[in-house]
Amino acid sequence: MSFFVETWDPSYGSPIEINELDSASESVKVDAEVAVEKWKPISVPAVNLRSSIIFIDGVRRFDAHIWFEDEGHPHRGICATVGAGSVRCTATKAEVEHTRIERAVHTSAVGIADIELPRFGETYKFKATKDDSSEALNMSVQNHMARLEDLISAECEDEELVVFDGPLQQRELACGVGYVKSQHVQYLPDDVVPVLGKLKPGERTPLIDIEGRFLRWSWFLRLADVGSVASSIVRLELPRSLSIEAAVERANYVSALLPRYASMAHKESRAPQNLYPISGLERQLRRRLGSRDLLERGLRLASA
Amino acid sequence: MAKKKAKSVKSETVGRVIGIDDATPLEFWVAVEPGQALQLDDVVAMDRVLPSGEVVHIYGMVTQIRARHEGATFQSDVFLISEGILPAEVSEAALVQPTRFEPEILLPPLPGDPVRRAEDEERDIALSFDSVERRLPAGLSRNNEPVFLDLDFIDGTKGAHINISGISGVATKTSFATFLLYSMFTSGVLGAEAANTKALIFNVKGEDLLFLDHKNGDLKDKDAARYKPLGIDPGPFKDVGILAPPRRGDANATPSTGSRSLGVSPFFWTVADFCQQNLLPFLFADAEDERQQYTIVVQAVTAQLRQLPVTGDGAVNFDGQIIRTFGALLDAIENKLVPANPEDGADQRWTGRAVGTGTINAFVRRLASARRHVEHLIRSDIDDSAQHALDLDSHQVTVIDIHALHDRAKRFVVGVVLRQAFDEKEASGSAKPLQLVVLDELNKYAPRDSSSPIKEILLDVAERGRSLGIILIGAQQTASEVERRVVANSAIRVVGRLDPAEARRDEYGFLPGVQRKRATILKPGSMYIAQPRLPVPLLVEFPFPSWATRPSEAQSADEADSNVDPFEGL
Repeated sequence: MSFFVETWDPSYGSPIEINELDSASESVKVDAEVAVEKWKPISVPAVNLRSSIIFIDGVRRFDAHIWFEDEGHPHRGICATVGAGSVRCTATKAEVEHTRIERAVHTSAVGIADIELPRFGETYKFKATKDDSSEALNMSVQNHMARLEDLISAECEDEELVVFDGPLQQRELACGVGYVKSQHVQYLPDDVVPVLGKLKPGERTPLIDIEGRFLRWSWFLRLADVGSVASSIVRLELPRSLSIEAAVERANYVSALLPRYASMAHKESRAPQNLYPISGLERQLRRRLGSRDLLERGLRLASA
Repeated sequence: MAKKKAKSVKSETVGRVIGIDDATPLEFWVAVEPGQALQLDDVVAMDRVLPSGEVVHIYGMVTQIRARHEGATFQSDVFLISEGILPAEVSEAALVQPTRFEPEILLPPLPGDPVRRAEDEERDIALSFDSVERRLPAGLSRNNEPVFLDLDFIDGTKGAHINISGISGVATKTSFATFLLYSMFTSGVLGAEAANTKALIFNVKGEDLLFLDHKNGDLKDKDAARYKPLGIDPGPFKDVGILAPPRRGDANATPSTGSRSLGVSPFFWTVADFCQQNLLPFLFADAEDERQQYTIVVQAVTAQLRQLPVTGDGAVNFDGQIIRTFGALLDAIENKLVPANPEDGADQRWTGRAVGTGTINAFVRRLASARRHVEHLIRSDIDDSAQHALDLDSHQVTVIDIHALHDRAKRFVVGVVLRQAFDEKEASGSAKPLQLVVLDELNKYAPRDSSSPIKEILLDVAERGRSLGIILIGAQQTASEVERRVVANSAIRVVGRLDPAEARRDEYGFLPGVQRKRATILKPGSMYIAQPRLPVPLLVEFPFPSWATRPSEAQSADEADSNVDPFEGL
């Protein structure tokens, strides 16, 4: 019996958590590009990068858990720093273009002001959450980061191709592509799932049409020749506003480009799905978040 | 007005002090701003404002620069970065060694402080040239800006002597020494004394220095132009006397030089000089070494020779025999020490007391072996031999050619000439005008591990020359082989290309690590100069010599040497 070792660092989980796959609550049409019976891997023609490709990603970090006293009722809160940025890749150069860093204190306590750290010239802006639960606090931090990503993407509207790390969700950028590293939702019906296992590096599945909260074109792409097929697959999304012809053309272009950016296991703990430009961007963003130790000390000083 | 303006306009920021490496008052790193570049040896300046509001100006020199990819983790990331896959920034940082704090409050610059290029007057301040009153042009920096030495540290006012180290051939030690002489004589730094300042140069190798008074025909216009920023006019040395040893076996004592025959005078000593001036010990390299028994004999014989009556034409009367040649003198001495009839016994006045036959024989053996090498230098067999006394005063530059002499004869000539120069200076009682002495291969004349009359003279020059006005411009391949006190007394240290093993020695402690490494790859014409005013040695390039350094370069209208007989000397 043969086996593969997952290329992701175990602490990140697995890119495909098979046990958790369940049928999508959204409805999926598999015959958007080809009929179900004709489903097979599509090898895309090689292309050159036309001008440039933009990658957008965000990072977040919890700096401190804090408690507020509200007339004897304790309230939880989280101080978190989030960052978002973009990388522009051309044929010869990859550079971080836009970055934004913000800090906020997330809590449901009322009457809370921003927390100032005068010694460091930093401020945690107050963000209200609906309750004290971990989910609500996490969601607030996540939303904060997503909003920063939106601000970054607003500066990239006229680009040729913008890849977002994660699903497109509410984003309707015409040039946008959603890039989903890990698969938690079973979008494909059982009769076409075997096609995934037949994908060779650089090959994609036909487009599917997802109808749910957001309308999406989507497809699967095998990035690299590492480990099992399952551990080198990503799912991509395009806005449904594109015509099917335009979507196919774009899917071919993106599928041909992305394997170039796939990372190697010894350099990246979530290889190959965490693309080099994104991992480089995350590294730079994390650096710009500032020292957590210093910030925590500042918070302790401010609380005294 | 133009100068004032230059000072008021501070140049733009080229970088900032970085905060992830320690900044200290002795060295600190500066990140170079994108779009700017710093190179090795660039001079920079920055200001630090103290809490009191006082501003400390910090000046320094770039001694190392590094560039790296920030954001890359692996070596192979460079390929990803250059293919536009991985974002990373190229970051350059320069290591700065402070040269001066003004006022002298020694504290580090703060991370983030902007750093600017020190230009024009600020560069002079950074390199302490502003406080130098008498500037001796010593060469050009790599930006073609002049570099100066403080004459106070050469002429004995605050210090004296220059010591030059470097590998033969590529270190261009002699060329640099002659350049400094030329600069001293023609830049005007000596003022009115320039005319009376004398230089004595020993030509120890080849015939390099025999054409100082000829224009260099190979000097190109662009080389000549490099003299301009130094304030010197290129040209040959003006007033040069060339002395060469007499041709061996030539009864007329015509000077023995290969390619130059005009304007060369022979030098030699009369037998009377030899006896009266106590020159015998200079024939023995280790005569002062107390462990050597035969030194007693040397001293006894020297004392006896001094008492010999002289004839007036350079000869001596040795027990009624008129002696005109070195050979005859040696024979006479030998007769005294080793009588023909063993029954007679040696004359104790000549041998010294209680000296064994073995010791006497050792002396005789050594003396006999010197005969062949110096007999043409000590003679009274020529009519006007008394007029050939060495004259160091008639020319501004006197070149003494010893390159063709045997080592023993070289040591004899150098020792005797230096003694004469030293005695004359001591007798004159005035340090000015200066007597400059250029001597290469110091390791031969003042070796670290032995003692000799020549070394004693050099030590005298090194230690007392400063007050007497004798300035030694000494050179050697390896400072580690030269007597420590000779090198230590030199206020100015110069280093050309060094052998890597030699460069690691303590003698070059004035070169910080990076400069030491660079000294092993210096190209000809580049030297490091360490001077007391500056904590950092300066790299200078000196211009191509405007005087001939070999026969083929010699260019002179009235030069008859152009048709040298190729069969001469055969």
